[in-house]
Amino acid sequence: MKISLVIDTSTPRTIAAIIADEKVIWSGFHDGATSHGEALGRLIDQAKNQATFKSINQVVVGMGPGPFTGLRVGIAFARTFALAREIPCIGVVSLDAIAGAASALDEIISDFFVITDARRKEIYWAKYQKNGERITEPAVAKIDQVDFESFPVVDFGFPDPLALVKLATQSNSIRTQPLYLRKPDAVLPKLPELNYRAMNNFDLGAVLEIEKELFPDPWNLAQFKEELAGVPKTRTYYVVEIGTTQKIVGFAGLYCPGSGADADIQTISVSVQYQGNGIGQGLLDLLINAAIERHAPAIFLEVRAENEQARALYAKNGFTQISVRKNYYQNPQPHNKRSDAIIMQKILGVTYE
Amino acid sequence: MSNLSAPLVLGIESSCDETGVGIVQGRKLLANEIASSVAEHARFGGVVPEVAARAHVDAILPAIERALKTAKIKLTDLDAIAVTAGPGLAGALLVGASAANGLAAGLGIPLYGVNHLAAHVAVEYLDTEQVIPATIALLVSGGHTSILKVDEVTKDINVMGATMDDAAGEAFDKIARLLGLPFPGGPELDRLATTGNATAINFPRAMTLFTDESDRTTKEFSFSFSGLKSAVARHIELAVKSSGPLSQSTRADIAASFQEAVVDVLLSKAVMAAKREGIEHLLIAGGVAANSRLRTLAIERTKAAGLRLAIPSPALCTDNGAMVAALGSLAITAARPPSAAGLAVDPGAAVEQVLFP
Repeated sequence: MKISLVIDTSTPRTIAAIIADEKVIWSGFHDGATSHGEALGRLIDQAKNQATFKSINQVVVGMGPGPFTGLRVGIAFARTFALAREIPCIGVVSLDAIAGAASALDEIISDFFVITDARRKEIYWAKYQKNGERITEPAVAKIDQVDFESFPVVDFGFPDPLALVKLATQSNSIRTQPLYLRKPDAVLPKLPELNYRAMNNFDLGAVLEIEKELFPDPWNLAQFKEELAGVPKTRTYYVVEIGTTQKIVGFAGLYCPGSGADADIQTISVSVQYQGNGIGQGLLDLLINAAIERHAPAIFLEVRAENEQARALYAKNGFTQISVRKNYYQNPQPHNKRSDAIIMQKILGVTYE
Repeated sequence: MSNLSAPLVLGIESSCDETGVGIVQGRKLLANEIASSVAEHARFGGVVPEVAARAHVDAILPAIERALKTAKIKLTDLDAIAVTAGPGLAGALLVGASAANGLAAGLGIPLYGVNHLAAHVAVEYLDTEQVIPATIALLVSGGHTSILKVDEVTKDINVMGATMDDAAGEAFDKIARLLGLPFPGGPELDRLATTGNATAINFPRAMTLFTDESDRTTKEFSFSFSGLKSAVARHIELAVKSSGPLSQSTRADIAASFQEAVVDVLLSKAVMAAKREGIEHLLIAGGVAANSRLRTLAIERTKAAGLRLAIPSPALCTDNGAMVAALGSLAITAARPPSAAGLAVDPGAAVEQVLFP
């Protein structure tokens, strides 16, 4: 017999239940949007009085969507309880459990929507078929931005414990991660003023540190010196530094021999701390400009297949994949598996006589 | 409980950005596993509560499993669970408390909600059979700066003074940012300061001079770092305005002089507190206790004052689960009652509340 401990903290109602197969042995709840932690502790204390508490052999927990803080209370509890008992912990979409109970209502004769309060004048929502099957992915939105298509909207429900247990066998509803749906409220601080300038030999200490920070197979000092020796004839190199402290946070280099030859991006590197601030874009702009100035018909680059962030940046700037070079990059021990290089190209679209 | 004098306790710490899980047996340290979300916060230049809370959810299970492996025990061997219930970030505390609750309920063993600050004091009891005398504890971290009088760690701790604005570690991080150092700036600033002149700039030492006796009574063991922070910011601004970007040696001098001002005030007050109370034992804990200048000067000052000094290893100074387990274990040995079902976390808990009902 499946004896489930059921927990849901995705709404202001903290819910706990013990369900044997599809029979509710015990259930309890507590209403209060800011007290999920204490409420769950007390409910579980009541559940302990059930003879079946000792025989629980799976935990089913609502993964939301729901307000961050409360949602995590149930999930953290469910996971460690399951760990302590050495039993599985199955997460399911909480909204589906509201829909499951609602679909049995007489009023529901068509597709319908389920919404719950996401606070800040927003709702979590999803659309369901009459039988309770979900049609859309759960989402968060301002209520007036959702088109309910004149279908009924269930806005009064709480996840039903029995429905949660039934969902634990349906792959469509099973989730391993909390459905926060919203990003943390944090704003990246504005960077101090940045200076982009040509790289020189004095910068190489700082450049090597960033190189080592970023790449498993970093270039060494001699390689960088050789590159700089090619400036300005065949190479163009830039660094970017913080204006007030002259701390170097990124660099980039271009191979571009001119006289109608194609250009090749040698490197674009931004220290991890400073990534996500548009510095890579700033460096790429400089390299593209340099290639145009030297009349290159096209600009090429190779990028590690796993480096999705960089590939996205290049794609956004009009680079397209033209081929793959298998096992091009070295990786550190003990993995040792080599990585593929994606070759990308951007036609500069300017022809010169 | 299998063994009251040496209970096997697992402690969980999640009050800020470190997910810590420690295991002790009595006063013996068996495991101290830490997962930090500091890299994720670095991009924002400081700890983001929601980012921290999300990271705790992901980190806590693996940390528990690692700690069990290191300690070579099974969950079912445990006698009790201890968890930080405050002070700290509300969302972060809740994750640890819920996880601890789940473990305790699943295993059917008692749960002890403990005070984060008191837990920092409790690390001193680990791996020693010595009787720990009454202690003055200087707690300095990114979230706290306090001088505590500890008569009995599980029940009798009093605050003699605390910061009235920024924590010392917070001031370190903010000045480090002004100097162009990455977050967390404390260790970076410490490193930069080693090449600087600590007497180059005479930055203010707040609340070391008093206008009268009543002023002294209220501020003698309190701290304030916001004035110092402004003074350093102004100094940097003027220096940049007059001579452009700061040279490496100027930055090092600023770092060293700022650090000296902080460390000087911290130790002067801690030593003064010990003298005032007639206590001969000083404990320094919290993340800032890893600062090299603080450690060096603490040895000098306590020697001169005839005090015995204890500074735990850096891994036990910063936030960790072992200290929580240690306090839980001491509570059991002192026959203190566990927390009730429905343990409530308290982000603003006072240190006098050592154990949570």
